[in-house]
Amino acid sequence: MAESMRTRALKVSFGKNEAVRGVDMDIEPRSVTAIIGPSGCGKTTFLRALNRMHDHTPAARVSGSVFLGEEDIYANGINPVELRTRVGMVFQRPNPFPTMSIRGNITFAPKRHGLARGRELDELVERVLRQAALWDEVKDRLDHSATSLSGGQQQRLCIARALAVRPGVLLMDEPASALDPTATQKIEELIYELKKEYTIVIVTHNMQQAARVSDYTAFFYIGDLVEFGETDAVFTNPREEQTEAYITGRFG
Amino acid sequence: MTGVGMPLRLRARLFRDAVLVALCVVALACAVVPLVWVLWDVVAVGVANLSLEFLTSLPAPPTIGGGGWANAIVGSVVVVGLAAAIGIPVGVGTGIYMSEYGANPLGRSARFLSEVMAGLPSIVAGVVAYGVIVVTMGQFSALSGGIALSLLFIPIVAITTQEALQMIPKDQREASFALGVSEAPTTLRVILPAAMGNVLTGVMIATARVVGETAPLLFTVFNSRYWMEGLDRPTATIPVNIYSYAISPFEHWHEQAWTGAFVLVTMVLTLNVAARTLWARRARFMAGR
Repeated sequence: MAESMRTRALKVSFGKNEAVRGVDMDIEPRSVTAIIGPSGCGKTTFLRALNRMHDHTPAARVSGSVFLGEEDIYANGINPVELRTRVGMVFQRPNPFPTMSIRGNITFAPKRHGLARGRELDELVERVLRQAALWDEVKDRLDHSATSLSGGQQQRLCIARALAVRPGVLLMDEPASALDPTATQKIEELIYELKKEYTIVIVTHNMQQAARVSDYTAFFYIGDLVEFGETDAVFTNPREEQTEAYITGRFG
Repeated sequence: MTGVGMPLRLRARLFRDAVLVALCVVALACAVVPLVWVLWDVVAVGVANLSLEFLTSLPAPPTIGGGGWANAIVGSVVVVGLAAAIGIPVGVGTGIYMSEYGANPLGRSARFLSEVMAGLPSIVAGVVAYGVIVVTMGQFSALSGGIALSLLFIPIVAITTQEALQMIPKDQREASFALGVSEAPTTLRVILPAAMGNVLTGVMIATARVVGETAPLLFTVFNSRYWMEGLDRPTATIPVNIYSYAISPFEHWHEQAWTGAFVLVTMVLTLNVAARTLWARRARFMAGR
């Protein structure tokens, strides 16, 4: 299930502005890789290159390669729509579908992909809601609107929804930045559980969060991958001066 | 602050504020008073002659008196229904194209043409339908009237649909794409349902606009004193009846024209309230209540 990812000379530019400038990174399966760096350093742009979300931005140009397992996801013949069932994404702001129920949010994509039907759908809903640690809170109101949930619950619903299409990799773009501390803690505990089965890449502004949840940390600065290694090493003994300056709060 | 200690300049500013508000109130009165007056007349005079006979029977000769507009009520429902049956799918489809795929010359021309068509004098729509359909078929028909009205219906729905879809945040599209759902189901199952309230408003505005149109119908459905005989036959409608009864020399017919106007206004109002009520449940669901 959980797959590895590799990027080679990955560049993303918007017109003349090169937001990611040639990044080589190896992402280990069943681990959490955190991407940190100051605003505008290209971390979100990098993350969105991993499931080809830039395909929907006409001005964006991507070059280099991204491998999912052994497959180059930018090669001819790779369908970005199909790819995204293997590389899921959770966004900064919770974005459940307001017209659908809690259950409907989860079953929407699996139904379209023919992954489950009838009773299987009920089992799927329960399974992913349990994985997202939301089942006990919503099991009696699955037919209520997704917008009736709190912000933190909505974000966990979005995680459950992403898990329902059975991706091997889950990309998370500052998933807790719009949430309060309690909800943030729940998301972090959830990430810790999910890495047993999934490969997780998380972009975060919060360095304590990176230190708490991740196994590997990548520090980006102005589109370059400055430092990448095991989280303990990056935080306690950074090789690069820029990394040290950033994590000790001298800039950012 | 007391008036005594108030600086002169502040007092001048407060005075200007008061003048502006007063002017706005006068403007509001100019807008509302005639509207209320017209509605009041329609209701007062119209209701006086409203009867079951008016709603259920065919017109009677003016010399006899009595009679009703049942055929015209049915005719209006059918002709406007036809306009909606053509106008809703074409208008919503055009709106979806302009919003989701319209960042190209075709999309921009469609938007420009929709704006031009939304300002089209309705009689022109009637003349076009006359030239293209009535002349070809060799007779006036309900169908040609429905098509003439749909020419007025489509641009309103297309423009409001485009604007309604554009108001849905980008993160809704991305949420769906990120689940591996392709563009068409994202548009139809995620974006359009979320925008449905405003699309519905556009449909209501378009319906209200065309239901009272008279000029295009004169050229197309013409009129009839009998029950509707088919979509390919001339048909009575409320607006054309109002027109021909109002210019007739018979006092009794003048009263019926008022009653017809009352029925027309009531139909539009009922449709609006019904659509709003049906929509309210859905809106409450979406708001999480």
